[in-house]
Parts: sequence; C-alpha cells; structure tokens
Amino acid sequence: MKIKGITTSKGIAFGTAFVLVKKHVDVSFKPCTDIDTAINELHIAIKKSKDQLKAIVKKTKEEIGEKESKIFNAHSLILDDPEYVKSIENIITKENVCVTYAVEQTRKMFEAMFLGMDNSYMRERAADINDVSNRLIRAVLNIEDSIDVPAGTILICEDLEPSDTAALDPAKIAGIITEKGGETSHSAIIAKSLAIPAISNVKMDSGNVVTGDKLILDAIEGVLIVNPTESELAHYQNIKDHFVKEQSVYKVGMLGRVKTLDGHEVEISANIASADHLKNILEQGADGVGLFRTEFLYMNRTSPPSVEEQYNAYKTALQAFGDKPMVIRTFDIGGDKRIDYLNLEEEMNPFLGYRAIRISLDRKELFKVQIKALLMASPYGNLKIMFPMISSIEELLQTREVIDSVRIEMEKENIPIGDYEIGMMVEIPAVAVQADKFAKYVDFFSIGTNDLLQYTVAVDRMNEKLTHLYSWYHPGLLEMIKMVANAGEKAGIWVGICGEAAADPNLLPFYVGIGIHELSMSPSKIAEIKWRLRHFNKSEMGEVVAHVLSLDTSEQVKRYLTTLEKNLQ
Amino acid sequence: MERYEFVLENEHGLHARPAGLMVETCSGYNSEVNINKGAVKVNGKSMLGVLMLAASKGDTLLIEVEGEDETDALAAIKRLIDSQFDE
Repeated sequence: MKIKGITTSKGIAFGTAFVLVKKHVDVSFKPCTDIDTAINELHIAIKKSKDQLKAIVKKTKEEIGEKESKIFNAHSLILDDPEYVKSIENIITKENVCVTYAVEQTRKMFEAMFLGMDNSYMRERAADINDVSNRLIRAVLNIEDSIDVPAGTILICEDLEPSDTAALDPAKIAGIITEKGGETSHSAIIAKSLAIPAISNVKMDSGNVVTGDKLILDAIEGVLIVNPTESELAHYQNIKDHFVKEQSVYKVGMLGRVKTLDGHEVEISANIASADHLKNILEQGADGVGLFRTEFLYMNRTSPPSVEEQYNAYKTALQAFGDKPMVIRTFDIGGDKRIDYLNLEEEMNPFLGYRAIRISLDRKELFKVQIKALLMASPYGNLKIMFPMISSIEELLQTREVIDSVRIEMEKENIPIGDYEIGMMVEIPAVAVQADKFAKYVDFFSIGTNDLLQYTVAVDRMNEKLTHLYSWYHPGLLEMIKMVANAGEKAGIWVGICGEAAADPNLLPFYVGIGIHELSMSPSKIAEIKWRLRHFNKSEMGEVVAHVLSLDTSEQVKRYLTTLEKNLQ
Repeated sequence: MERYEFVLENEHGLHARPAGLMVETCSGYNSEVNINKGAVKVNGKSMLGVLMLAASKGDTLLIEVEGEDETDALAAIKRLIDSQFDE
C-alpha cells in the first residue's frame, strides 16, 4: 500500500512504524478552591517548564545546532511574556478556575490569533503557542515528557511539536511522518538539520498503519510504502544508495554548465509540469528547462485555462530561468491524459488517435489561446516553443500558419512579442526517418524516447506482459536516434532528448558520441548526469557508437553499455 | 523618548528566533519599549506581542524607547538590527 505526502526533509528510510498517540490531558473546566494557591501553582509550573526548556536548549545546541536551539529560547520567552502570563492569571482570577483550564483558554486565544494571520510562516507559529502551553499544562499535572522508542523507528503522529522532536533520540529515529505541519515548521527544520527523512500532510485513515508495520519512507518523492514487497525493498535500497552518494559526490560542481574532459558541452535540463518550485529546480543544477509539459495546466479543472492564466504561468517560469533556455511544449492532451471538459470520444487506440497537435489543429480556437499566451510571455526569457506528435510536414506548416495568424492579431493590438525558437518533438518513427526534411522547418528537435520507442517496437508501455520488449537499448531505436542527431547536425539545428531514457547514465556516452546537445530529465537526476559527463572524452565515444550499432540485440547493447559505464567511473 | 525607524531585511521577517532576540534585548533594560508597525503598537518585551506584529521583510518598523536607560537600550536594539538578527 502506498500513501502520498509532502517531503519536508529529503531521504529514504527503512524502519518499523511507531504510532505516537499523545496522552490526552484533562483541561476541562474545574473551579479552583483558592485563587492564590492556583496562581502560585501556575508560577511553580512556569519555573519548572523554563528549567526543562533550559535543558532542551543545551541538548539541542550540542546535538543539533545553536540556531535550532533558539527555538526553545523563544518558547522560554513566551513563558516570560507579560501578556501571556497576565491572560492566564486573569482567567484564573475572574472565572475562579483551575490552572490547566486557564492555560488551555489562553492557548486557544493566541492560537486563533496566529491562525488568523495571512502569512503562512506566522500561521505555523501557532504550533509554538501550542507546544509551550502543552508543556506548561504537563508541568502543572506532573506528566513527564519523554518519548522512548526502539531503534529503527519511523515515527507517525498527527503533528510533532518542536520539543517532541528535541526529546527524541535521533539515533533511534529513521524517519518522521506527520499528518500536519508544513515545510517551514520547526519539526521540519529540525528533521532537516538532523538529516532524518520526513514527510508531512500524510492522510492517515484509521488503522491503515499500525505500530510494528514495516515501512519504507520515500522522502524524495513524498510516498510512504506500508509492508513493502521484496522487490520494493531492493528498489528503494538502490535509490537510497544513489541518494547518499549524490549528496556528497554529485553535488560538487553541479550548478554550472558542464563539459566532457575534452571540452564538449552538453546542456542538462529539467522536465517540469508547472511554474511551481522553480527555485528548487535551479538549485538542483538545471541548465534550463527541456520540457515544460503544459497539459497539466489543463487538467483537474472544469474549463480550459484563460490566456491570462497561461501567460502568467509561462512568464513566471521564463523569468525564473532568466536567459537559460526554456522549452515549452504545447498541450499533449489525449492518449493517456483525458480531460472531461473537452468531451473527447473513447477510442480503440488512444495512443494512435486524436491527441496532442492533432487536437490543436482541429480545435484551433483552443490552440490559439495557448499560442497567444506563449507569444505574450516571449519577451520575458529564452523561450523555445515545441509541438508534440508532429507526424507530417503539412502539420508543421499548418502549425506555423496558426502562429502567424496569432502574431498578426497581436501586432494589431500592439502587444509586444519577443524572440523565440520553434521546434518539434521527434516521437514518431516516420519523422525520425525523414528528420533531414523536417529539419528545414524548425530551429530544434527534441526526441521523446518514450513514445518513439513504443511506436517503433509496437509495444504499449503500459502492458505488463510486454515489458521485456520495451527496452530503450533496442538497436533499432538507437539507430533512429542517431539518424535524428545526424540530420540536426547537417541542418545546423540543435537536438535534445527529453524522454525517460535521457537520464540513463548508461546511454550518456552514446548520446555524447552522436552529438546530442541537450538532455532533459527529472531534476533529481541532473547532478548525477552532470557528474558523469565530466568524466569522459567525447573523442573516444565515436568508437562506442560504432560498437553499439554493430550489436544485434537489446541485451547485448545493455551489457556493453553497463560494463563501459562502470569502467568510465 | 528615543525613536528609531528602520526597514526589516530578514528573509522571514520578525519570526520566532529574531523576535526572541528582540524581546531578550528589550527585557534587559528598565525602559519601556514599544514597536510600531503602521497603526499597530506592541510591547517590545512581549514575545507574543512581537510575533503578532507579523512584521515581514520590507516592513518599516518604528521603535520607541522611554526610561532612564533609553539611550543604552536603543543602542543595543540597533546593534541587533544591524547584525540582521544573527541570521
């Protein structure tokens, strides 16, 4: 079983579930017998809480860091806060009630004030009020606050309060899963600084995880796997090893453009599906965006996105990347991506059917909205517009006509248009074979290996019975990729690859050897590919290409490239 | 009374840690300290008050200090602000 969440501290953890149930303390309304005694009780509890916090500050400073320890200094200051203490005292005096009820009422009041703020950072500070108030209540009731768990624990709880995080022994905690708490919560910050993988916003329906369950916490993709199979365990062990290595080795020099030892530069870009988290993608080393899948802007809604909305998304993305190239692909709807409001008919063979540019050219009004938004955004960065599923020169010409007509309308309205390139996906075998002809009409090619492979070998990649036939080491596919690269070189246009195979380190020598200019992939793969690229000579790869293309089977190609890749390290 | 106006430059504004340092500094003096953001005025010695200001990066804050040690108190507050709250 898999449960989705949001990563707050990256990593992979294997462990045993420990569901932390907070003891419910009694904070109900109870009249107090003597007001002076109650006030005195309050001040003793404040003193006790402050002593605890002093110890936590010291422990945190030693085990985590000075900066993190200051969170608890702040908690201590809340206990010194004249407004906070006065509020509790007032409730005790006016309502003649016990301390715990008065603290609870004060907690609720301040929590509501913080939750009402329009800044998410400040809203999360409600957690500080709750944490310190709960500490105070526990102090009044003499409840100890230690969390004792066995080694290798993956902790599951509704929300981990900062002082809980500090009370834990980090050596025993393999991972942390919370139902609440955002990326800037203290728990997340501390989990990050201790390098404990953590995810939050995990929806825990009653009993889907119980203490003792074996878990894999994938805090890279933000997924929790409950009672994993052997193959899942092996799969994630690989990912974990990779992640650990990446953290140290691959990070060196991942931010700039990279070259092979003999100075050949390849652009390593990211595939994205929205204008969110762009800063994070740049931090992972992306030289640009090689594929912005715009169909995601059309999904999960009831009508297509307006010009304004699309313009804003494209502009945001272009501005974030500055002069770095950004390839935005017009919508690839249809196939496996269905959209209700477009009322697409059910088809026998959706992958061979009404999809992508075929819909665009049939529903030109829908398409023009997207083209207009792209052209409006063009002055804000290094835009490259790309069309999916082009199968004939005629389609390419019709697409250009649409762009021209939108341009003319925009010029009439005096809307500024910047520079941009126009390119196409190469994902249909007929196009790969005829690439030299298509090259005359575009500024670049990007090879979509997923579709090109499934069309070339006639294998539906979703069909589990056929996975052995779906291999991107198929010599036929590689031959075709080389044809496209050659056609690009002859015509003087650049050629990229944006399918899953782009991130396969085994194929990197082949790509370099045939002169691929750009590889676009999931951002998490960039650092590794860049690191590998810096470790071989392009001049030696001609031989590799010749050898690969002399082999007869996918298996032979795979074996040769895997061995080669190991020797290159 | 001493007054000092400045623009907050911390990335997350006056959040828990910087707010704590501010309150700690203010509490070290006998003078009364008020922090103003627009029309909102809070007690500089109150942690929750300072947090409630929800002062974010780019906000202009006015500090007012009044009491026998107001000059020293303001000097200490200025040092804290100039150090970017040790961030």
